[in-house]
Amino acid sequence: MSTIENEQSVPERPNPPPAENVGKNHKRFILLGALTFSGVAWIFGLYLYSFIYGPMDVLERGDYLRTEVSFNLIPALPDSLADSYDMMREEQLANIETMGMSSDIGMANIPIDEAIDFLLENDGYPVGDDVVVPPDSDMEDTGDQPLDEVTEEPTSGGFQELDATSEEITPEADSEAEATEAVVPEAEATAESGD
Amino acid sequence: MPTPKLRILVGVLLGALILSGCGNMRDQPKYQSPYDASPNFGSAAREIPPEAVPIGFLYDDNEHLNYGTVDGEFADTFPFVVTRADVEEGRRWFEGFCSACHGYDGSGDGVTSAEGYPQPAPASYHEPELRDQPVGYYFDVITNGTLNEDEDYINSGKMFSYASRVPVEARWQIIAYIRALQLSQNVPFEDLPADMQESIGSE
Repeated sequence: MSTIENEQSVPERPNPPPAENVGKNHKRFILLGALTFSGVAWIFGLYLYSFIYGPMDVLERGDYLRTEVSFNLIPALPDSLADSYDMMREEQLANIETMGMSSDIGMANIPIDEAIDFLLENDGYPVGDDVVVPPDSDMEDTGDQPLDEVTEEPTSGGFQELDATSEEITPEADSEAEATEAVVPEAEATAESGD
Repeated sequence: MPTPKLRILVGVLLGALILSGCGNMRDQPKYQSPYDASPNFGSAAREIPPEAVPIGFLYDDNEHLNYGTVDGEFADTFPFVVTRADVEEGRRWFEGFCSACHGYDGSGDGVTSAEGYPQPAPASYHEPELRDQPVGYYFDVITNGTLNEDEDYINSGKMFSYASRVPVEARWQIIAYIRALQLSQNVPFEDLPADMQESIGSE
């Protein structure tokens, strides 16, 4: 008896609502697609107009910041001419290594090394009154010694001016300094033996 | 889950945001010349003071060494004792920076001349007019170039300044080598040593 009463008290479950957007949203899909496509087309069109056609119509030519640089002023040097350049270089270097009479009357051509020696030996490089010491030369002629073998002492950089009041380093002064250095160890040895 | 209307609204807003970035930055207001007048600052860039010195060009007061002049005139002496090592170093600099236009023998027939270098052609160091110039003239040309129309340079108009590429001491070394080049192609026969005169005469 009680079971029958309980079964009658259970309410009926409502039916689920009908499904939406199933098989009936083609128009909305086409509308969204058309909007997306038109947006992309607008962006692309504005890009073309702004960067390609826009400045030509909107701005004056004088407003351009970027100017075209013509590279035609300096001709390009193709690699195919490397051999001819090498030949030209060899010929020109041979010109300064040959010895003979010049086209000018009474003048001669001598090798460049001979010319350098000639200038160095005959005061061809006159020096002014305000002589400075180059940082690497150390005021010594290295003669025919190759540059690779020239010892370079560390310098403080820059030139050092020599004026009339500065002490010039002479060979005599160098020998005196060496003699002084030679005496000092003997004196130290004497003092140590005395102790 | 956003509704379709909200999706469309978001899409339109995003599109508007993207479209707002389509401006061309190079078309914005700007000063074409750094010295154009500005209502706020007078000019877009400040005028360079007359005593301003570019970085790396602050020399000491040694006029002979740094400017190639003595009392305002081109120096005819070197500011330091030139050694063989200096000349050899000058040769290295010359072949690296000068020979392309002036040629390895200093005749002005570098590779740029062979390829139609704009006229006038590079100067030849063996021309009498240039051979007679003091060493300070060469220093001035290397330092300042020959583009200044106010100065009266020989064969001027095409050489630019090498001050930023060639240091001061190297310029003097180059000049020492140029002097050797000039002598090698034009030395008086009578001044040559006897053995050299004999060797030239035998040829």
